[in-house]
Amino acid sequence: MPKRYPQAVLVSCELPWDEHQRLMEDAFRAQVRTTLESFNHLYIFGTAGEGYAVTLSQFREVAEVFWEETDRPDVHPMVGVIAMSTAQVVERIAAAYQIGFRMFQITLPPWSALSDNETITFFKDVCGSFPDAQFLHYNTAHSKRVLLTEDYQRIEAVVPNLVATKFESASPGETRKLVTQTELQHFLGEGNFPWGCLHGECSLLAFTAPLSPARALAFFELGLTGRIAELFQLADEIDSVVEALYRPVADLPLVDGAYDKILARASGVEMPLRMLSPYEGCDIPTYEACVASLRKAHPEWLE
Amino acid sequence: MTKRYPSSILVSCEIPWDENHELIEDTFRAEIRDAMETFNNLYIFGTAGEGYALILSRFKEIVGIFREETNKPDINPMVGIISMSTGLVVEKIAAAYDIGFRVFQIAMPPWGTLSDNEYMTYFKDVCGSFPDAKFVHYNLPRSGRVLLTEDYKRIEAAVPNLVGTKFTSADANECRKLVTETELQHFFGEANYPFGSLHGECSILASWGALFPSKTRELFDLGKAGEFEKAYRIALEIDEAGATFLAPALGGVERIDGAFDKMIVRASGIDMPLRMLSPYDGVDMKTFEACVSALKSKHASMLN
Repeated sequence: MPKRYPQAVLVSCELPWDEHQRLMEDAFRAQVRTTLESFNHLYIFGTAGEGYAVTLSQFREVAEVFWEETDRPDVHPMVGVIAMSTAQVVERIAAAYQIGFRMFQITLPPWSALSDNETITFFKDVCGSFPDAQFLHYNTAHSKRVLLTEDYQRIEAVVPNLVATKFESASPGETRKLVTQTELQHFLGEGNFPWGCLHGECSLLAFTAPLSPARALAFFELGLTGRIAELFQLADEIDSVVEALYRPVADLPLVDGAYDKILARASGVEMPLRMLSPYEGCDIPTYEACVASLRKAHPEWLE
Repeated sequence: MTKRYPSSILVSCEIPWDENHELIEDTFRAEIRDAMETFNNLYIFGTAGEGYALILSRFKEIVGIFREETNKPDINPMVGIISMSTGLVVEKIAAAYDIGFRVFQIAMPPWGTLSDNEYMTYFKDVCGSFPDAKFVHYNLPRSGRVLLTEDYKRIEAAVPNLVGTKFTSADANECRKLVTETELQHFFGEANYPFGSLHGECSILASWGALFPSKTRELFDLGKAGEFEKAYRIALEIDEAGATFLAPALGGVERIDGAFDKMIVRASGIDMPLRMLSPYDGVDMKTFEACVSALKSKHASMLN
């Protein structure tokens, strides 16, 4: 089935905050540039990028810096918007649209689970407000409702510029249906990307890309070329790497972004572990225990 | 135990929207004035008041009008804030503070469930930013975590201007502990207020205040006077009448709370449209009329 958006590896850029919770612009620019050395589809403001937490003025500040760094040929930047109503989402998209962005990653509002009608209303109202932009749906349980293939079939029939999803928690069976029964480009995680590749064109949301860009690209290439056995083998290795890295924080109730910052810092970029209030990041000794755990289990991933 | 905030009946004012999702100012003002004929503790922007859905400019517009209507002797207005981080919450409180408000109702951010340390950080950071203001915690599952007595004991020890809670889902045992073991003023719902009042001073968050004002006032007074059997009977009457009213609107479709609250206000005689801010659906007029008919046929006396 032809897809509405190109197949790609998508990578998140996290936000470094100083002790006063202000953006560390130089560190952020350095991270974006490092990412661009290996990837050309990148985004800000998912859960990892604390998109839920920034004020509108912080949102604009970060988006402007991101635009300056990514407004280049063959680079495809995307801006995430996590907010609590259509109006809030549209306000933020409008701000990023004015800066120059045309690709957005949106989530359903989290205060109350949307009904079927409300879900359609949300996509029509948001995507319909920017007909020359394209939208990826960030499909997450944080929104209190996870959409499935049948939902997307209904939505894609009435929302032409919904072009993709980010759906790391889709089961193997759901992944098959998504890939074969919708026109959307599905960005799957390292865990379910191989399942999608069994059935057709899909894309990779590369959570571990900062740690080993070459392996992320190789992983994607295995999927593109249909080398399924090697693909699953590498998926298994990546799973083991993630388990080893996060073993010391496995019992800590951290929000997702805290884990992403551990991984970003372990990749060598200057990334403080602090999160915007009220969420907590991991402390440095615990972070060092994470790195030591990974080094012990998979030293080659830190070379 | 001495409480940090006076005992009272607290009522919500809902926001009327026209077909373009613009505020219907005259209706909003009329609703506030109507509420003040019976009650003097009122608030905007809980879930019922769609506080989660507003952009900052719309928030300021409505808060400004609410201030104009409630800036009177013996009126105690409160502004609710529902948002996704400390920064976003503080930004809205600052806007309302500048307009003149000093009592705020805050919910915890819903995107990630807060740990013990994180909720302490949240209350310290938010309440500590406005030391001459007072705060009521809006305690509900939508935030991902419901706080209990032991949590509040920790928080009240560290946050002197957290003065109350709104906690309509507390069970009987939890009501007892909240009332007897904390300094906070707890605003219970009509159903759990009698349990709280058995053990000491507490308050009512009157979801049905607009529709059943005299019964609500009676319930509150009975609880304060220690006439508990009568209080339970009135609470039961309100519960049964409310269930009858809502039944036609509950068939199979999940709706956000505010959709029902707008029906309550409209049924009270206010010209309140039933529409909600996108993407949420309100109840349609036909269903609303069925709700009113059901209430009139079975509980007409409640409307006196």
